[in-house]
Amino acid sequence: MNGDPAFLADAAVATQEKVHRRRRQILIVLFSSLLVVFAGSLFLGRFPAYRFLAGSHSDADALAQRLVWNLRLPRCIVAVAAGMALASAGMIFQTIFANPLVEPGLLSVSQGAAFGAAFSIVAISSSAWIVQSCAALCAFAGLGASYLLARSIRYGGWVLRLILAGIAVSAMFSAGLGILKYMADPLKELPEITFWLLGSLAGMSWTETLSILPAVALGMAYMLAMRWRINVLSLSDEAAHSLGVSVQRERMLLLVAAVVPTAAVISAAGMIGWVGLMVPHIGRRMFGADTRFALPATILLGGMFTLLCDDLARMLLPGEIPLGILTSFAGALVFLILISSKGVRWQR
Amino acid sequence: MTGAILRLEELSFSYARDAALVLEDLSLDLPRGGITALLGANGAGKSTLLFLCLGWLRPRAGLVLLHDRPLAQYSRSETGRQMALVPQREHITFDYSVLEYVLLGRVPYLAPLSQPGSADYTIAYSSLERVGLAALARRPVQTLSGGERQLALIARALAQQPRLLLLDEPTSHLDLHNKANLVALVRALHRDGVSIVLTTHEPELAAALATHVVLLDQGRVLCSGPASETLTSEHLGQLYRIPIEVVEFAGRRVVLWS
Repeated sequence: MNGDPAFLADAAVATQEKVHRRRRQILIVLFSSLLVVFAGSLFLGRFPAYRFLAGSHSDADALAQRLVWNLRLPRCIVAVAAGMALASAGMIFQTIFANPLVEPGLLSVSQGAAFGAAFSIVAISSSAWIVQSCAALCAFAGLGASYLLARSIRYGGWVLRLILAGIAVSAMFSAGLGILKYMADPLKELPEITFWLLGSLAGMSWTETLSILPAVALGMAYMLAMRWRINVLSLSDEAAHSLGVSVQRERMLLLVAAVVPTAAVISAAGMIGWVGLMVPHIGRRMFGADTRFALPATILLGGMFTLLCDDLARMLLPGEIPLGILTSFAGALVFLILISSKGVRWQR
Repeated sequence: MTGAILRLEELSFSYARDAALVLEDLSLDLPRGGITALLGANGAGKSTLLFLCLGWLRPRAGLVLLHDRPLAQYSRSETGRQMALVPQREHITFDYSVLEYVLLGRVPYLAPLSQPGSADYTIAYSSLERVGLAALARRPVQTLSGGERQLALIARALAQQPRLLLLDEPTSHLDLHNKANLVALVRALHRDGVSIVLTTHEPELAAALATHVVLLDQGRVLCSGPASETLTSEHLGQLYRIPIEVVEFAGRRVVLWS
């Protein structure tokens, strides 16, 4: 080795800073693209006609104004928020459980919400806010049950116990969901359940938007503030402990910060599949494993991906396509390309 | 250089409440500024003892005192700045670069919501230089060989700038060249005043390196003291339950066994 060690260290740090600067620039590009897609989405749709895009008549057109402000704007906001919440939760789950194949529904949040929604449709009422409240209630019940069950399992590490408990509680909820579907009125209730399970942002109003946003914003703020420290939690429990981390407490806090927005989003919009599983992988592909950059990238990409899918959902066919179908299809497609391309190492 | 950095008082430990004790009534002083080698058969409780020192495992009975203060009285980040563990191996799921991985050693110095700065990067990089991995700083950790990974783990522990370094079988994946480097590194750290505890299956390594040797047999201390008193044919024979002969050769202790 030649040269002064201090000089070499400085040079290495300078290289690292250059890498960080470039990563920050890419993040800014991603953020700007999201803004552009968002603005574009407001003016995309079958109504009104082309002159609306020109903007010259839009001030005068009261109907167009109402359309943008009361229908498209809240819907686009929810699409972005949903994508961000699901993608970031996916990244947190994959990191904390040190497993690139888990997704945010793991702790029976998704199955809980699905059961709650179906239960409401069959047994109570299919009005939107009751379905959503029921879904939220059961999502949190599922989470709570998984947590309590994990505490009472007598073997394995904390992560294994949480996963086992989540799988068991999820299975019970899906059994319950099966019974509800079997009992449901095949002409009236069953289609509603199916539509809810496929996920959709149709009919999102400001009420739903404002009920989702606080949870998403708070969860996101906490995750972003912790974006570097999250890395430590991907290490084994004893390693993280030896690095001065209160492993269990910090994992729990992050899980709550990830799961609460997810539950809020799923309750309002139904099952939007694959965003939470696939987008974190793209984020990691672009920025490496360091969550300091991969997490913000994942958040931005998740928002953009879901918004684009929702644009397609409302424009592709004369009728609305359930969003979950599009996110699953596009997500799976991207995922397949990703895992079959060179340079991806799979361990475990 | 006087006193104990870590004092274990009548420690008992079992992994489950009704299971057999792994460590029983164990009292031990780990000398400040010393190099302590822990020897024992597989399953004698060496790694368990390290985890107890670290506070990762809690004793069923007894106390662990760090600088004469019970470990429980320290905050987590405080113990992270005082002690670092180098485990035998570590599973890494994601593709961190070696530098990013070593940088995690700075966690105890940074508040939960803060990000590492260039000073932290400099320390991480110097740690890599110290173990001889600086050239691999930007390589993904997953592409490293077993021995290189072990060195990266040691670098991460050095980035913690600990007063007490706990090494769990640090030479198990190392070739002779890296083993010699590790011995030199441990000696250098010892000169810097870092206290070191290492577990090993190699009595020769303990004899060459340690200022203090502890023989651990089925959860109890068989004997402890300087290498010249502990690493004898009799003690080692008793520990490993085979005939063992310790001979002096070229000023070093060599262990012969059959």
